[in-house]
Amino acid sequence: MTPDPVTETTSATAPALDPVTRRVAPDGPLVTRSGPASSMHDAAPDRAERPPADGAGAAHTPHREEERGTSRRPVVPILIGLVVLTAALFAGALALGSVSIPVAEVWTVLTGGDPSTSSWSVIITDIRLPRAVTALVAGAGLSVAGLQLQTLFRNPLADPFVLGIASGASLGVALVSLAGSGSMFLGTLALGGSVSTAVAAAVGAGLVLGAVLTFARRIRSITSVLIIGLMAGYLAGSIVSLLLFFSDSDDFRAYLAWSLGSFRGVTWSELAVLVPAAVIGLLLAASTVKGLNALLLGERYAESVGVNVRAVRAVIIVSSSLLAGVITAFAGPIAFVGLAVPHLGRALLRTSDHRVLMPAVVLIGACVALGTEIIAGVPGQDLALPLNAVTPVLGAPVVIVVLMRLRRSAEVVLS
Amino acid sequence: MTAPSVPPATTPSSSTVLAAAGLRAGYHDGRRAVPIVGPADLAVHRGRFVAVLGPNGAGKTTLLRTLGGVIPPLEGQVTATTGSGTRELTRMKRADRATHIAVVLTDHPDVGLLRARDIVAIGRHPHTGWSGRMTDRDHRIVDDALEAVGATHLADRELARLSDGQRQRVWIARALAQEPAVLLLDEPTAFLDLPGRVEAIDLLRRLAATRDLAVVASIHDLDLALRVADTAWLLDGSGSVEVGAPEDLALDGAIDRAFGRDDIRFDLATASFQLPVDCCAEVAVTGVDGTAPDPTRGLWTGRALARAGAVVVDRSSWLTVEVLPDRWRLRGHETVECATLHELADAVRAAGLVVPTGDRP
Repeated sequence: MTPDPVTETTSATAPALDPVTRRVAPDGPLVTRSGPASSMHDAAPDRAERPPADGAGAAHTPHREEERGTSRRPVVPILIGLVVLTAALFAGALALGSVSIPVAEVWTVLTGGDPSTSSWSVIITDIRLPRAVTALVAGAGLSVAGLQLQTLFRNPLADPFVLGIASGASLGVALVSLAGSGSMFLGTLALGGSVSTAVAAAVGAGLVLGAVLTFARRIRSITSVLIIGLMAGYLAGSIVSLLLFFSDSDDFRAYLAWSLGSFRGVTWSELAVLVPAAVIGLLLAASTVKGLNALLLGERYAESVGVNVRAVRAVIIVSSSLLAGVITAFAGPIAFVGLAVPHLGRALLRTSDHRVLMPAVVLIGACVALGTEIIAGVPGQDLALPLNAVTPVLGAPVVIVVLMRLRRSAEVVLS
Repeated sequence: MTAPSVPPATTPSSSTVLAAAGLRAGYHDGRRAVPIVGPADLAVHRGRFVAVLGPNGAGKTTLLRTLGGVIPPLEGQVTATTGSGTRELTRMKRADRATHIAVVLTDHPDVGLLRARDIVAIGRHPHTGWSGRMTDRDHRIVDDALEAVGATHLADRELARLSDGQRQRVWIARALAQEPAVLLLDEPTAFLDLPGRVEAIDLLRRLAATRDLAVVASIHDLDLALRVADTAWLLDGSGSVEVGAPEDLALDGAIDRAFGRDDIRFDLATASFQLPVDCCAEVAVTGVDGTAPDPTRGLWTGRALARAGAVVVDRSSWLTVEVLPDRWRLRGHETVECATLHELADAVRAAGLVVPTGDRP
């Protein structure tokens, strides 16, 4: 057998999972410390600094750890760094906005004290805290849903909305906000303001998802499920287009505001629904970690190592739909996060092992959403940009740079 | 089952670990059952190497999938015999089945950023809990499986960076990590170069012997398979499965019947397929002064002559090739000395009495 490493042609379905990509510095996807020379010999130094990989680490000798860990990257320091970053961004989201509040004062409010300016208390507890919690939950949930669906569909372009959830939610909101003025029934539904938008989005997402799942149960091929999801999305999209076409400008603007995505305006009573639902979705997702790893080898191999593929598939679809559905209902169809964060996670930790990726993606997703929210809020200005206008502008260049750099150093190694 | 680190090499039992009775394997086209293989009664024993042979489309993959429990049999039953008794495969729990039977498929998926060790570790899935957390013993078995296939040095490399042959070893190691009694492989030599194929088959043969594993592999390299297999299952495309030692199947003509076509026959004397000869001039091959030729040189001389359009016959012929230690002498109506077989082939063509369909010098 030839000893040379072979550059495999990356399959068309998985360009972004390119297995020959290399090297992103652990402290952030933007900073790469890669050099061709170091890449070539990366195994030894990286392994030397690898800490005990998981809870079982204490029982192992360093030598054993070195041989086995789940990643060549120092997993635990990276995860700790992400936790710290998440906390910092969360504090930032509370402190920054149209009015800047010193972090010490934020702490005073959170711990129940009285800030030096009384209005700050209201700003933090009623506006910024719900907003930051929404961003945290939405970022984490969408990213996990994206990770699960990318693995399930073996497609790096999958995102939380491939099963038609966003389109269904859009349809629901469009029906309420656009057709609402002409219809008594929908008009009464629209009376409740933002709550009814959430209800409409949830109902729409649920209906489309239900239709997709009904078909999916009869279908063996996971690719067909994906295509049915996309078709359902197009169908819902065409109805939305019709409604938009015949709507007046006020209704149009109301729909547009929702469709651009926002972590703002979610109340504490809405969070009481959003947070538990997201937690359930995340716990369900965590239970699929082993199955997801087996699914990396394809459904046949997964089946052969004793995985109940149909059951795992069902749990993945339910948990990702729950996450995407409930988040979309309250925050609108937030693009990009669910697609890009799993890729950032893989690049940062340089592994496809979901036992490492899942927690990493939760934290990266939270960071991305919180960071986006801070920037969209334009600190110091009385202005809030739509989220969907900010996420791709920030994120797309990051992902492109990461992938380009990784590919270049990989080519040097392999040529 | 014991840990694979303790190979019961000395006492290979021949107990049946997997058996099929009245098996008909195939697929469903809508509601219609399409049988491809069977009815067949088959048995797989520990420590034995079974080669599944047959032309393309004869149902080798279907048979292997049915035996592996991936698809249910259309008729009959497949039973697995484990330490805790004999059970029908379709009624076993998934994890139980996965600890008894491991499979290596033809298609190797793109596995992203997984390293060889990660792939092998997935073989521990039926033995680990819901989170897939690996104990020290699990890690030891993974190391051991990598060592068994000679891939220890590849453990920390990403699968995508390995050669086809190295990758195949990793997939086999993954199957070993399941600690199975039966190893089912669908064309394990596909995509490998010739030395790679020999190496892979040799590895499987050694695994069967040293780990007391039942190995069932579909193999396209007939010559290789016939040499290493303890048993051959010959699928001729009609549905019937002939079972026997490869040599028995060769001698009674079953292999020729399954694979042979109008003009391509399995030649028992050379244990290989013979290409059709365009023109049937006869030539005798002898050693010095009519003695028997050196067997190796004689064999290759015969092949060169066949390509030049001449058939080697045992009886004396008016056209004779004398195989000398360092050269060849062609005796026809004139005598030509040739230093190489290339020259000999040209000389046979040039003799003008043998007219191949190809171009003449």
